[in-house]
Amino acid sequence: MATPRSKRAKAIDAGDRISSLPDELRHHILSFLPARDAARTCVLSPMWRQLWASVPRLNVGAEGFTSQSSFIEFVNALLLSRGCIPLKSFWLRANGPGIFLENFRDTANMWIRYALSSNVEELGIDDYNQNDRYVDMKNPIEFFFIQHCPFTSSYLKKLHLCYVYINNHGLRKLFSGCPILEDLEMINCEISDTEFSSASLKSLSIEYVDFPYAGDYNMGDCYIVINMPSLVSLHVGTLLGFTLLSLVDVQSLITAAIVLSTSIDTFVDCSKILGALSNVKKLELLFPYDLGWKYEYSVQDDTHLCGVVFANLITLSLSDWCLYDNCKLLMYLLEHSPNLEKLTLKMSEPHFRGNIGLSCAAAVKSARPFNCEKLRKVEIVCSKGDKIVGRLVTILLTKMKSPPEINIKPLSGV
Amino acid sequence: MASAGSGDEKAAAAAMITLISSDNEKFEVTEATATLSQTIRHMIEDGCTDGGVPLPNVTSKILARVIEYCKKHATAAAGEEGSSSSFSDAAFLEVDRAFLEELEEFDDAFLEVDRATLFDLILAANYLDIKGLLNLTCQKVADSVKGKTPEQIREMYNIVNDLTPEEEAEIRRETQWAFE
Repeated sequence: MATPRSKRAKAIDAGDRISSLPDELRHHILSFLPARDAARTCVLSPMWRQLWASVPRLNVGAEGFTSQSSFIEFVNALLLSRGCIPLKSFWLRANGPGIFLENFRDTANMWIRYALSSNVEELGIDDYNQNDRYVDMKNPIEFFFIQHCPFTSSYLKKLHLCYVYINNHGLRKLFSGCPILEDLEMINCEISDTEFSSASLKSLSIEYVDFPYAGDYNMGDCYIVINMPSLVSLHVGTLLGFTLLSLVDVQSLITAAIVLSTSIDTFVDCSKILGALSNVKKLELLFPYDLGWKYEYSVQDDTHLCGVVFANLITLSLSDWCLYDNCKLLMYLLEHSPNLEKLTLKMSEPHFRGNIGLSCAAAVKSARPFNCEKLRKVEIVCSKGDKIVGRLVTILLTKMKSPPEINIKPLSGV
Repeated sequence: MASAGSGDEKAAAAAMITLISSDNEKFEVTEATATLSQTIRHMIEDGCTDGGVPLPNVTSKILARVIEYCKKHATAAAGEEGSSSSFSDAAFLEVDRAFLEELEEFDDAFLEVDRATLFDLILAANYLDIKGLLNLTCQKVADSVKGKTPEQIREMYNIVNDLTPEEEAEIRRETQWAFE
């Protein structure tokens, strides 16, 4: 009977380069395949028979399955055949026609439990049949409800959630149940909790997340709080729900992007947020003109910003909210960012912005000229004929002692 | 002051590394390029790169390709400093986006090689421990296999099937769930 070595030698002789790769490399190749393709390699030759079962990365997707029941049967059999071989990553994607995790919630939660008990470090759950979901507008298919009770792991480092619903206290339980979680991405999720509080998280990205029960704004309890002392990278996209974003302890942040589109119900207290971001290197704060100041503030008497210096800030992108009150916040930022090298100002179309009332005279008078020596490049992105840009350039050139190169670029794609 | 001078010289010399292929060809690369390989990074840290780094498992033809990859990606790695996000931090700045697109185009063109070279690159990336290159090349093989029947895969990669028809039928019965 042939030993594995002689089989491998034979494979090379026959020009079979793929079979002659070491097991770990064949595992690596299989880890890029959908689980069904990986499992099917078991009939290639005796050298492949057992290999798929020990692949440490599983991509379970509903792509190519015609019915929910065949998908469920497949995944159950797959996990049963694998047994309890440890896993590094597990991705579950309900990307087949009419297949929604919420329709078989208990089974899907069992699969997640399987992955967590196999010590996964990276877990992705995508329940994303966006178009099918609203076929019946009166009864849209609900988001997949993750049962938080089993959501406990001392191995999980990365978590990606899409079209997932997290109930009350779900976030708190997730963060306390996964003490080494570093990377969290949530897209199109619905969350009944409002506090993102973790000592271990380094990267947080949330986009199109709905906070339907964030609370009553008038009662003062509608804050989405991000309190993460280890956070290095933050990306906040459009949020839904009547919310006010609040950053508490985020002093480790190096890159931060808060990009809110026309969500009418989200509020941002610009000066408060800036005050919390004093250590960042790269900062992008883009939101509609009226969003940043709906919540009243005044820079001068604001204790959150008074005296804050952005000593590490190198790249800064802002939208036209920073022109409010005769560029007060923009001027503050330029004056207090001694290492800033690049500034990008993105203007929205004038008719979206309404009457901004920017007065050169008032802006120039309100503060004395300042140094911003390292700032060599300013880019202004605006629509053609935006009259406010001329005034903005005048203000910049008057206030800065060593004027930078200013480029004006047309707003594209509108 | 003498020590300060020699320190500077040492730093300047350390910036270039000589890699020696299995067929004895020498390649001069910057440290930033070379250290995309974890294997070489560890050798530099241990101070064993004087007189060049012999790479007995890599031919000059493959090493030239690997260096081409590392040169391109070393610039990208320098730009990523400070960003620890591995999911999708790409949407950060337009400059980054343009650069990432350029990098993707480079990778696509880089993978236009025959199968033998592709497997040589996989082995070299594994030996030199260059994660990005290993992922790129293994992904390429996986893409070529995706959606294919076992027969098609055998033919594509010259896999000799020494299973008897009975054995194959038995395996298919056992894993019927994967073939439905």
